[in-house]
Amino acid sequence: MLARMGRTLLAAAAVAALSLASDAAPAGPTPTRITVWGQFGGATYAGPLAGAMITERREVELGAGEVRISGVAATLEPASVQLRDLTEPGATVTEQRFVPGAGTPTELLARHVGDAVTIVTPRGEITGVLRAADEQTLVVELGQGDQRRLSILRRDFVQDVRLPAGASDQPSLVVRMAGKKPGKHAVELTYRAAGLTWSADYLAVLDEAARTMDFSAWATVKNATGTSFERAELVLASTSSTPAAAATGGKPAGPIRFAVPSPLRLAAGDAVQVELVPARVAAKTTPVVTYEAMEDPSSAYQDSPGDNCTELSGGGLGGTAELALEVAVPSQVPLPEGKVRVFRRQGERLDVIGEEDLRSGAGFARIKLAGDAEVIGERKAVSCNVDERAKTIHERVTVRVENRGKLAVDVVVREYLWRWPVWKLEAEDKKGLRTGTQTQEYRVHVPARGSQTVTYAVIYTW
Amino acid sequence: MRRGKAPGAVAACAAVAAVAAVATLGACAPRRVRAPAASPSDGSDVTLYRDLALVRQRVELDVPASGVATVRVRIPAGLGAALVHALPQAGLALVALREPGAVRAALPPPAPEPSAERSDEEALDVYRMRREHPAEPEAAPARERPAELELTVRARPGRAALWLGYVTTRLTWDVAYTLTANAARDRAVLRGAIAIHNTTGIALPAAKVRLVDALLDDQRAYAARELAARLTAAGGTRPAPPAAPRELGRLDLADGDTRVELVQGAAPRPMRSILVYDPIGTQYDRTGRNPVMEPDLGIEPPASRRVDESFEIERDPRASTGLPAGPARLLERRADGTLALLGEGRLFEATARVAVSDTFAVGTADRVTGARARRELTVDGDRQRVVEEFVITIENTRPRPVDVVVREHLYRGTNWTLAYISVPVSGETKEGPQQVAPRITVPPRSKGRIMYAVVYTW
Repeated sequence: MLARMGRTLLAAAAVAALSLASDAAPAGPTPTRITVWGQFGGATYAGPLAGAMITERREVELGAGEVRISGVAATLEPASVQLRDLTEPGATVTEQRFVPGAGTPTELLARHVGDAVTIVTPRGEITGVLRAADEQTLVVELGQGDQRRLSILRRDFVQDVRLPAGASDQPSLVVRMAGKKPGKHAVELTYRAAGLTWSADYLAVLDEAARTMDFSAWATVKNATGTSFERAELVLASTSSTPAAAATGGKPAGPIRFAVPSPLRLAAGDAVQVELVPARVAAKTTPVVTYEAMEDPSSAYQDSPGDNCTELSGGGLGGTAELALEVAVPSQVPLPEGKVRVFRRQGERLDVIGEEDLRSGAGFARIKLAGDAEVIGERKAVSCNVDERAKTIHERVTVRVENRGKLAVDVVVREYLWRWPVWKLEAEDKKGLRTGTQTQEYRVHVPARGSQTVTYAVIYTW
Repeated sequence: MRRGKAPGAVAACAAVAAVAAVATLGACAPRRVRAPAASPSDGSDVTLYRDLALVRQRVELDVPASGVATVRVRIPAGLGAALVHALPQAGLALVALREPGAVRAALPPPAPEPSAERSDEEALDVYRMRREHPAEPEAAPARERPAELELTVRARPGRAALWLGYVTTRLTWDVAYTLTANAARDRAVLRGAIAIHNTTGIALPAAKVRLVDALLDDQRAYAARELAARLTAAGGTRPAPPAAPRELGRLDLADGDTRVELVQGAAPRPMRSILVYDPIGTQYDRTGRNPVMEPDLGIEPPASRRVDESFEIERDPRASTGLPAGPARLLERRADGTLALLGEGRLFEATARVAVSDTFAVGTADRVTGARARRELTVDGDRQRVVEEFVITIENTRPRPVDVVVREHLYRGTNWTLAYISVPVSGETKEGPQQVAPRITVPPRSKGRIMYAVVYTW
């Protein structure tokens, strides 16, 4: 019975949606622009921490009363709403109210307290004014004058509740606008909403025989706003800094943005995977060995600089060397953090090789395969000077890598400029590449049973 | 229901449409779905590991002249869009992979509530924290039914196929063997069957199935090391695979159980009676590279003195390659045709993967006992080695000589060398990565000894 009642409520809600659609419908084919923010490590950009900025066009009827814009995200943040009248730019919003949607049968019913309803029971229909509703009962006012009475009905006795046309149960924005031109107006509505997230993950399929790789990058967008967006123009933003930050003297750059090429349907409850960058098929790979003298300590020095020069100043062999494969990717910014699932194709078969964090820089992705015992290294801070008055640290670092193997290898020395997020290189004997907020990489060719040294000088300022 | 994928849902939407046709049309009609729901046709392939299965599911679709097709595909229960990947291929691009109903609506951040125990400032802090760190969209609970994905693909018009790759826990298997001996007990025939349990909720017809009797993670680690060794042409010992794969051929993996014969037409193998002294078993095996230093490991509690009366059956190396470990029953077919159970054991365990024969205990040996004593334990940290020396004594009070297999486990670690052993050994003495089985013949009413020294390094 309850199920049937639910169906009727939904049907009535659909009728209500229809009637409201004439009041404020999505403006034809204009897509909804949505920027979804993903949270990734190493964030230094002070942008929204999560959620989405949603911009859509609607058509509203401007008159004396309220304008109801239904079908907005249930997670809309009322303080973030901006409404721009495109028909009459001088029109202003004088009052604004967010009416959340109803999520449960009791909430749905409670929205209609005071409305004339028809209750269908096994013994027939009762028409009256809904006065109260809870989990167990409905109270309906019947009759008029001295015939007026309250009928209390058990919910399990109720088969259907017929609602009046025109009522809305969808999340809505109700506004009063002051303008000179009554009639239809095109408006642009922008707001922030929680419940839209995205994450990145990657797939690499190695063809060992051909020494090639199929590489694809995927974004999974989850829509928990409770609202469907039929034609969503998606921009996926990550709060990691771009390498271009190096050019700004270490100041954090803007977020990285990936635009999804064509509008998508993003229905309520959907998880949708889309390509982050075009896939590479049978792309050539380059084996490299990455060498890190230490794990990245920079997260511990985001609030105050690491001004103890004896700390992590190095000396002695250590660090980690890993064999990885690099593949060129069509992206001028580093790909967002995410796991890469690595498979090996042998004939028609696939083998699982691993699931690792993807490393990437402008134009390339690097996929770790296994540890490398042939390459060892040593990192040493040869000088370090802290100037408390000038609030600077000057540090000179050398990293020596040694190849004990029988074949020459390309080694990528990953260095963490960990003492403070604002830094600038003063000198380097080999041209390095900034691949993260506080990460610098040096690529050196190390002959068999040979070694190479990288030296750089960095200044931190705060 | 709002997305109207299932036929029932479409019907429900049609009913609603009678009331409010326009409003529901957009919400309920299956959009842009030009091809019927595709079932994975032949060509899927499945690799079964001990804990998981790797599936490459083939999906066929008809691409219309517009070059864009949408197809609905069922994938195993418990998976979702984030756990499935379309494998890239030339000439075909996946525009979107959608899983309707994957997430529940997030609740808007609650307004700060006045509290007698909390100051306004504290309440605002809580509010700000909730605002700035909203709860992640809650994933819908793992479904017992298969998930349905909607794939939108761009390709040249015509028939096209793509592959979805994923790992599932819902394709499991178990195996059992029988060895049937003849009445003379000098020959035995091996038979085995695998039962594949498909609880994914989808059928995988004509799938190419391969079995790897190892954990996926172990196989993955091996494959990564082996690939790295090839790419760097590194010297030293190549890593050994945790298990050899065994092709099971094309199988219809319907929803439910599928039973497949593993060993067909196997030739009878030589069998003989033997005694086995295995006082420790595999209970202490430590699989790390660095040896365990604990002095009493394998010494306390004292080793068993029991010697087992057993049958030894030679393996057929070609027929048994890649056979998974499992329980086995040794049966005897008597002269009158009836079957009798002689003993039970396990076959093809990883601990004895390279053994040339298998033994089945059938009872405790009468008048033959064993003893295991350690003579020396030296831990040399500077030279990174541990030396341990044992003496195994077999006492035979029978009036005839006995052949005894002495099964010893080098349990402290996987990097070991037998520095000395007092009996002749061959390549067949090693049965597995941490297991050796030297043999000794003990004359009547006497004692036989095996002394050995093992060196563990790291």
